[in-house]
Amino acid sequence: MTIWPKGHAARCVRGCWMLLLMLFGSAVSAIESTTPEYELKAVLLFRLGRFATFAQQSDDAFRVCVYNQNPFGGALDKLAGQSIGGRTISVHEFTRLDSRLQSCNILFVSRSAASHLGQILLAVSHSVTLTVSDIENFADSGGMIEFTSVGQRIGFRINLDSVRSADIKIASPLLELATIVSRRGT
Amino acid sequence: MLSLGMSRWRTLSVAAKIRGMIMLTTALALLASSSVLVGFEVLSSRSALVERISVLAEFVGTHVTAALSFDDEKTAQLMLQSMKAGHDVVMAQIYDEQGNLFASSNMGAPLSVTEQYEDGARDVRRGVLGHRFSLRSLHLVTAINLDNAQIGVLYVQASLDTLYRQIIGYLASVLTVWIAVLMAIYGLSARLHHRVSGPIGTLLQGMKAISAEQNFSLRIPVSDSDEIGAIIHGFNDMVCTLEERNAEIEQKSQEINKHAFFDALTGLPNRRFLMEHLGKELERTRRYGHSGALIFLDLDHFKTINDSLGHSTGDSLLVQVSNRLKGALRKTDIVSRVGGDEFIILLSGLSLNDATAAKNALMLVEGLRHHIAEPYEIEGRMLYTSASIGITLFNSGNHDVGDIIKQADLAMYRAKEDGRNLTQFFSADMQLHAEQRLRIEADMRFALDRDPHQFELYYQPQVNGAGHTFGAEVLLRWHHPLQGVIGPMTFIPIAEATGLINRLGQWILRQACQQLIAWQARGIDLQLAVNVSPSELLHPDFVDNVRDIVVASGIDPSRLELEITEGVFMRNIHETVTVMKKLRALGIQFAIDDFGTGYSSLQYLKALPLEKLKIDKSFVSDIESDPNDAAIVATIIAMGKSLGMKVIAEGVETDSEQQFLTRSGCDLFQGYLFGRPLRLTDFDARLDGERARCEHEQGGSRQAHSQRGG
Repeated sequence: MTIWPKGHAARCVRGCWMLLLMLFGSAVSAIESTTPEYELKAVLLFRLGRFATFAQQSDDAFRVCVYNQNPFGGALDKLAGQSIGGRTISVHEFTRLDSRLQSCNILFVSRSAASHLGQILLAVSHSVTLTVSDIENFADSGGMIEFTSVGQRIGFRINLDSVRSADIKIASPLLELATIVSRRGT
Repeated sequence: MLSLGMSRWRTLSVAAKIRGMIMLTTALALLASSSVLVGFEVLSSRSALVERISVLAEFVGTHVTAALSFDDEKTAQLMLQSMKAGHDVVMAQIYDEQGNLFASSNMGAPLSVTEQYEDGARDVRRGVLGHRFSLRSLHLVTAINLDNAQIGVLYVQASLDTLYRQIIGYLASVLTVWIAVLMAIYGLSARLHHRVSGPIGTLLQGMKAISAEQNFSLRIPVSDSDEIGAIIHGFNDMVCTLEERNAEIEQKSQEINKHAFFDALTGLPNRRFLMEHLGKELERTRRYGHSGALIFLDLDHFKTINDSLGHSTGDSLLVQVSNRLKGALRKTDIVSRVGGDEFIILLSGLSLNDATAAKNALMLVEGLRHHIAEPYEIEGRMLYTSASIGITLFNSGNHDVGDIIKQADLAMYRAKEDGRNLTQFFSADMQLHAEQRLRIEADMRFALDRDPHQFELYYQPQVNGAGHTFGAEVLLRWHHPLQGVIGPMTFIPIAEATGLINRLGQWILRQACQQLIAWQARGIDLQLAVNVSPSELLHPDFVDNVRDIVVASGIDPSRLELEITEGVFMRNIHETVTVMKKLRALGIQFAIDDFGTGYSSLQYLKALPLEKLKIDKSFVSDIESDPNDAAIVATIIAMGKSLGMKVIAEGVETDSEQQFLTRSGCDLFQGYLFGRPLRLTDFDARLDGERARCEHEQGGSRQAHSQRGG
């Protein structure tokens, strides 16, 4: 009886759901339970690894690190053991700035560390580490890949200068999806 | 159909066949090569399309990985859209790992949504990567790989329209080339077959021309030295041979003509030549209204010259006569030799006036006759001859060649009959006479063959001085079934001329012998005198025939007396003497008939085996009126007696004649005074009467009988 096709209605319902998740996300993460947003971001985080090429590859492990408070809950652990480029994914959590951070392949900086972002980035500035965060203006602040929320979708902002200076190559298909940001622009 | 086609093919010219074969071969070669080319083109453009679409799909597949990974349907769609430009892609779809449709773009022909979906979904469900072709589309499924793992598939459907257009264009260009090549080959084959069949056509035309005109001097030009050239050469050689043969035949036939139209001995034209010219001359006289004359000339006694002096002398004489004739005639006249000693002369362009023409012809002919009568010198001796000549005139009247020659022949014959060395014009009664002679000859032949009883022997008594019949002269009578009795003066000359005289003579002789035998059986002893003509006597079989008849009949040969005339001595004295001596040896006796009228040499008289001279009745009948004849008769009698011969006078009709003859010493008589020629029955009756009278007078038949025999 409706003039809308079924697909459209489904999408609308799904969009409303996402909106709700975003509104109550922080509250939910505080109680260590994984929200659907961070489940999705966990998947995306892993997938990002597939589009990045790292200059140095020390060993067989592909280290995915989370700094400070882990917003993903157990979602990351579910993905550990998969492989990227033939290397097995291992997940590491850091609550303090540590020299081991330099061995991370991907470092996710949670919102909880937004206050001392500069220190964190400085800590990995000489290692081949892809920095990812959903902190606002992360890319403008010298981070490499920033998750953004565009409507109900999750988008990317990439600071290519940062990526290049870390000797990391991002595959072009990913660049085509992302918004490119320059450090100098900030 | 096939046989019809084959029969049509057979009627085509060689040129058309060659052209047809060239065109067929070319078309087949073109078809084969263009099929291969088009096939190859189809395959290669298909694989090129696959290649192209594969590369495109690969590219898009790589670039869509992020969009697929990060669920960015819009970007994926944009990327699919980018495939559109100029790549024949009508639809592209991305499916995720689970086979769900992630993004779809429809760029080409408006296929229905379900069809698109079904098409792509089916291929994806098949789970087979790669491509396949449907009628109008290429379906390609490639994997979307990320980090060595398949994260989805890309389905691309490309339209084949461009491919088909290309192929059609290609086909069109191939077809154009095809047609161009065929046309070029057609043009070329026209030139080629002209090279091949041109000479054949020339040959054919030449052959037709030669056979149509029968002109073997024509030759067919040879252009090439190939097989056709060889055929033309061969044909020309053959025609050349034919031409030579023809020339040879021509030459031979000219020689034959010469032989056929000219006499080998004298070089004069022969009868055939003359006949042809006479025909033409007749035509001319009809057209131009003048007249001509045909002259038949026969040498007198040529046979005697030939027989006595030899053939080479005769031939020389003929040559000289020919030369004299040629010399004496005008150039327009034709003289030809038509037989042994017979010449025919054709005078043309004479006046239309018969009298003038006759006068002119006669003048010319008389000149010829005198010319011929002049002496000839042959092999050192002088010879004389003369000619009997017949003339006939012809003009626009309805004569034919045969008639004219016959007329001249008849006139000549009359000239001969009239005593030779004469010229005679043809006249109508000659024709009649000749026809009559022909009829008589035919009837005589028939009588001898089928009906000899038409002939009858008559017996004219011959008596001695005492008046007793001692013999008879046998005379022939012909009882013609239609014309009654025909006298010997009529038919004997014809029999002599035709040779029938020999058979007639034999018949007479046989009858006479039978009669002698019949009398002998009755005790009657008579002598029979039978006339023999010169030609009969000189016949090669004469002696044998007479001997056979005499021996077969069994008569006493001395009872048979053969009467010959002086003319036979003129013909061939040596042969006559030989024949007479042979028959005399058998016992047969000879008398000279009509003695005194010919030219008898006393030398011969002495040498011949003669028993009797018979004084011609012309002398006897004039004894009383003409003292010369009386003197001649007396001299003959005296001469005969002195030569030891008997002398008999014929034609004695009166007592005074008999008395004169008796006084002159003649003791044997024949004539009306003693009896006309009698039939056998009458003659027998006379004999019976005479015998009875004799017995009565002398009282003893034996004595009378012996007297008669003396």
